[in-house]
Amino acid sequence: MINENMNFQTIIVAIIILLALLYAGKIILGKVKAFSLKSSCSSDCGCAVRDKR
Amino acid sequence: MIQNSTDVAEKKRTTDNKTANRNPQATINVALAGNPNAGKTTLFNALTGLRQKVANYPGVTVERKEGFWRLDGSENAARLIDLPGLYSLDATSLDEQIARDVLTGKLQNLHKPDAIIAVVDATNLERNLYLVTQLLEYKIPIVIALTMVDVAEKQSLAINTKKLSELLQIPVVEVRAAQKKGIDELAEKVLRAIEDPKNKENNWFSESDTSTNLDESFIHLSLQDNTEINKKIFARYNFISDVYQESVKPKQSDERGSSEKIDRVLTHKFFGLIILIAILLLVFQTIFSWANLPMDLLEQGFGALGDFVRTSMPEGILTDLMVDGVIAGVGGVLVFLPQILLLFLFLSILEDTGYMSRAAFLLDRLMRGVGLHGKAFLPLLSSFACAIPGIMATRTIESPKDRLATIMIAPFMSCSARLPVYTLMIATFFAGKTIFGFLSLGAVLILAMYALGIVVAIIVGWVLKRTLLKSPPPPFVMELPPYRMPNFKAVFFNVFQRAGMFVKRAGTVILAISIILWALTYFPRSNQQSAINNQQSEIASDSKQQIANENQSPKTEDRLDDEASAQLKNSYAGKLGHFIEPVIQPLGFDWKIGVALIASFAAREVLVSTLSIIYSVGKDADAENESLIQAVRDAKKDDGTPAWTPLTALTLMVFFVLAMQCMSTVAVVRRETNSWAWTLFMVGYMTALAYFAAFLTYQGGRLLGF
Repeated sequence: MINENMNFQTIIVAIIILLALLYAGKIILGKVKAFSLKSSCSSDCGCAVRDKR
Repeated sequence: MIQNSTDVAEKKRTTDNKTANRNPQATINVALAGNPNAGKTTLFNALTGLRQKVANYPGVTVERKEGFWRLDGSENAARLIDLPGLYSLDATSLDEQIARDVLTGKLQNLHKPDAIIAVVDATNLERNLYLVTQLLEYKIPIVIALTMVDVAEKQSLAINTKKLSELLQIPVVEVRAAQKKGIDELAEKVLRAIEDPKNKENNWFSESDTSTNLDESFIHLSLQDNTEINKKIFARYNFISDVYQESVKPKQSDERGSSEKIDRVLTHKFFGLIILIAILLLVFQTIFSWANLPMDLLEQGFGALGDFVRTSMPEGILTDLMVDGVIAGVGGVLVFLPQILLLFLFLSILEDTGYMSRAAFLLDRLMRGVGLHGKAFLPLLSSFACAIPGIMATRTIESPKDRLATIMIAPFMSCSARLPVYTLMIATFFAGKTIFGFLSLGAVLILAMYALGIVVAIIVGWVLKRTLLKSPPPPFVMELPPYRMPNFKAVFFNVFQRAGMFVKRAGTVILAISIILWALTYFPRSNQQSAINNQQSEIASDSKQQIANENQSPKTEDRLDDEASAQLKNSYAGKLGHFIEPVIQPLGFDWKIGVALIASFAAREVLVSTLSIIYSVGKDADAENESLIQAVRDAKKDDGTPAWTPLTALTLMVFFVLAMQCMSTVAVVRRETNSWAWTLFMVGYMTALAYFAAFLTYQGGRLLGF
């Protein structure tokens, strides 16, 4: 009984950890995107300041 | 880059021209422009029903913000664009450039506005009208929304709005956005202004007065050394002076405003600083004493929840994850919610009364003394809540070098994410202790941490301004907003917005990190551990019947504790902690603190949840949930000596004041500086400085016998 519970629980835990990893990955990808260069300065991102000077 | 941008803008204008004859009933663009702290965002919120942050200091809005405004019922919906606060359209700083680009239709996906609402502060009419005269040159219908008329009346200024409207040849509407007064009239005037083509021909000067081409981006006056341009500036001021004299009648010109009288004391070189320190001490002391009860209740609540889950669910890995990972991790951070709420309540009240600007004025003397730009005060002030809006607010600084210097030091300001770390350390080791019998040591320590951040920021700013970012400090005049009773609606909105963000963060990022960290502390499982788990399960089953606990010998408990500790030590997190232990040992930190430190580089408050998880996983699963404070006090190093001492706690706080431990801040620095080199430089020098200062604190403390 205990082993069956553990197996079932292990599957659930594996799914939860996987979801947490996916969410963390999504956040990191978002940050990477924020790190990357803007394609143009037409949005008010502040990236134009160095080019302008 | 600029060339590309201009090309795009040219193409956009051509497209816009083709659709110039739009139906006035269709969606229209209305820009909201005005001086900083004139009440634009309050009006924007009142018109759109949105809730952008407002505060009683200049420069809260540095980006353009948009919302929809129902002009009259449902038929006429306008896209309302809240521009950054501007004194002029000379485009010397980034926020002015953004505003000018909006007004000239140079931004992608946004055509030139159909109308402008010029938000004019009645208490500073002359200064506000400078921008209005510039806006008039854009050939866009303008309606003036006159704000703070009640404050002007209190200052004995009687403004004749009818006369003002006649002289400027544009509609003027008195509005009280917070009370939603004048909103309908404003909508009506805006619609009429758009429909009447004459409104596009308004100008404060005759065409013969200038030979400047008003069609392109040089529509604004630049501050170049040009006689023709200087002539225009004088003409503009003469016009404003005439308008002001004819439309404003001071009732008693020699009466000093009450704000000025209060400022004599609050901005005094010596007494002002004493009052500032006293106010901050009072705030921190109140936060500690008021937050105690709800924090205890939350802590007990999460403890009880953990115990309930542990006894209700079948023993196993899922139960361990729920109790030691999710509840310990997220609950450990959520416990600090009352303090966060109180901190933002006091900060919002101080902001809204206008006192924060005085505090900034006092610090500005120091900042300018080391060569920092006077406009750095606002970004640094914003950074006390969070460094991200602070760094965004540096856009108001014209000089790129000054802007960069301010970005480099903004993260030193103690943000709200550091508060749980400070509080945990103080509550564990310094709670209940006083200085001089009445001053809470905890409040003094928190103030000291805030002060440390400011002092280090000033020193680093001084060094940067004399080496890598050498440039003369430009002249700067700081505006001190009038004192006023705080708008409690806005205050509570700010507080709940912050609280919402904190809870959301705990329920998303911190939850995900807690689960991952739990997994890192839980795996790999040794065979021996699996056998122990079974043994624990059996004992735990017995404990449900309240028998096993009583009969369980101390020897068995000790063995289970040792095995749980060994499991943690051999986990992935344990291996990582041991790997970095030689580096952090000189700071008095053991490998468990090391794991929490690594995790906190994602977000500072993760330190609390990580410690909570580590101390939960590292203990016998059958033991009752103890508070994190107690767990930190009881924690032992591998050699059996206490893992924490008051000196270790102080060292950790110093490290947290100075280290760059926020991925979001790093991302925004990268975006705003457009440079990897400066971003990496900031992360590198802040981490090195934090290590060095923590080393000095710990080793110095030990030498002194602590």
